[in-house]
Amino acid sequence: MTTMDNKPKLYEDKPFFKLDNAANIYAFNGSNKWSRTFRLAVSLKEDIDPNILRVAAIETAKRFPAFCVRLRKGFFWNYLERVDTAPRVVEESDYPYRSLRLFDTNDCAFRVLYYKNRISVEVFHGITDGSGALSFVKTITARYIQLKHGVIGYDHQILNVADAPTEAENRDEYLHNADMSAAPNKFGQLPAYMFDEKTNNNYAKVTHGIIPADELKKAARDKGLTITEYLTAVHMYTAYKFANCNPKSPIRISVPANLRSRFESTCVRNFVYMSDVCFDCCGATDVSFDQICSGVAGILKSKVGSDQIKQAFSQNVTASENTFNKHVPYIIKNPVLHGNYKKMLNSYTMYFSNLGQVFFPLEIADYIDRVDFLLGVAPYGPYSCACATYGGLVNITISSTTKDNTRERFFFSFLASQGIRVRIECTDNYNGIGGDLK
Amino acid sequence: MRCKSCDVDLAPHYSNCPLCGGIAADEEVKIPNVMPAFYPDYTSENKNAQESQDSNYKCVPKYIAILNASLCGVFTLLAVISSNVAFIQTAVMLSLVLSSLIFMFINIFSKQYAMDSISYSLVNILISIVFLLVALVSNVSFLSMFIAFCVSFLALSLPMSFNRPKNAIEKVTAIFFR
Repeated sequence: MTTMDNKPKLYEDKPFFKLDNAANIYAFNGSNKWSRTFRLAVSLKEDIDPNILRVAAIETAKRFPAFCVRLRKGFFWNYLERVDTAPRVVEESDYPYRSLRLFDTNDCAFRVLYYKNRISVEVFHGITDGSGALSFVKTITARYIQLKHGVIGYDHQILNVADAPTEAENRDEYLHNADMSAAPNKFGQLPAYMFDEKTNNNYAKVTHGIIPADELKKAARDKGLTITEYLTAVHMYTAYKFANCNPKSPIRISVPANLRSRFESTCVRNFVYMSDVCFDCCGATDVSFDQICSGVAGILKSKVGSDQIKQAFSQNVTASENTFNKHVPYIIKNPVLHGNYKKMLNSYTMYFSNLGQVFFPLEIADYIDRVDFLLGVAPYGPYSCACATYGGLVNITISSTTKDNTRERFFFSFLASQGIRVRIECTDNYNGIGGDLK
Repeated sequence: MRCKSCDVDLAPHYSNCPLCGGIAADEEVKIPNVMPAFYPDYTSENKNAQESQDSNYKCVPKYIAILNASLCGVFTLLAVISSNVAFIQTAVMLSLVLSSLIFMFINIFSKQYAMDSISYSLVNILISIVFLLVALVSNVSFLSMFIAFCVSFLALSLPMSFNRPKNAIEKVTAIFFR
């Protein structure tokens, strides 16, 4: 195991990081057996040279000090402690988004994998969100291409590895931007409809659906929706059908909204707001897709307006900064937090994250083939979905821990029935489980 | 390749649709020029022979703590049963030297240079305090206790020198962080 020598002095010498507001949730439930992990992968047009990738990963890790951490248990809260060891770069051999070892380890809270022409970075959600991880994987990829082919291009997400990390990149933006006079948030959401499928331990399936972006955009516009809203509506319709058109609880999907552009932030740590879209059919058994679309229209836009969103995440910040949370030892407040966390998990049917358009500078775009975004599943839900758009193709990825393909089949066949061309790739062959939905 | 039943394109290496199991039709795809993503064979028997995705370098605080506690317990029991002052002093030194040496060797052979030696050292110091309290209860003289403590401290300094923590003050404050 090598260590990262010659590290630049400045922000890197910070020995530990406070967990930010979003990370508190992931760190609270994080363990060595299960951790909220997601993957961002960039496929090149040539096979990966692992030795060059190792150099690129070590140099990039120095530039992202907030990533080279492990989770530690503190007296009042968990926290992130710096790890001096270099990130491991190994060939992919296991299921995607496998849990990372967070405690009692010298490894960083992410792993860099390669397989044929693909560079994958799997990250613990407690250290960053999709945009932060995208910046990391883009920087690794750009540095790899620079080392191999001598060309480099930069944009706002590709950081120069020769520069020193800055405080703005690594600070807790929730705390920095929060309105501390906001009333604390309360966990008051009702339980949502949950898929009652059997999940399998030590198993993960990934189904990619690749769709032309312009066709999806047209289909969404026809319904008066954005792409995120449209795909959320399709997920809701699928869940509604999956519940035999009679879900006992509302279908609620968690959709994160990136806050960086709204608050002009350059941070690489978590800075998203978990918005949610809810649909309650109130016992109706003949709800059409159009009805769901009209219910979804404008919800996300209204929830993520600057004023509302600042108030919303400020409430979360003030809730975590209150006297009980701040000054009561972790061992005492653990049962209360655990109850709240379980309540929160039960209030979402599934998680859907849209990373949006991914761009690479023209200088290196010729080397890039595709971008994959995979979201790990929650402990009580067998499904989650993520999508990223690159080169005019939307790559929708459904992750699941169940062997049943019915839900994926309905979702993608429904998109095809709306006149959208769909291409399917799956990590697991059909195994005879599942069937048609009515 | 296409699946007519699901009305979707399939990657060229599929003979069956992964969604429905239907036989893939050898038709022209609707979305051309898409390179498929390949994944390793997760069921491969050779998987275990490959380098694990996760590191084997793990910290061992729990095992050290269990070892120290076991040594502490055994020697305390022997010391109390024998009620022998010399034996108690020997027990203090021996247990700390043994545990510290084992601790040091584990660190050296597992190359755990960057782990939290301070927390293990704190465990060792706590154990030495337990021993001293036992010695106090057994009416050992103050001088004997002081000598035992000094020897214990020297025994601890050896592994600590191999495993000197960086930013020790920050690490201690981090324990009480927030």
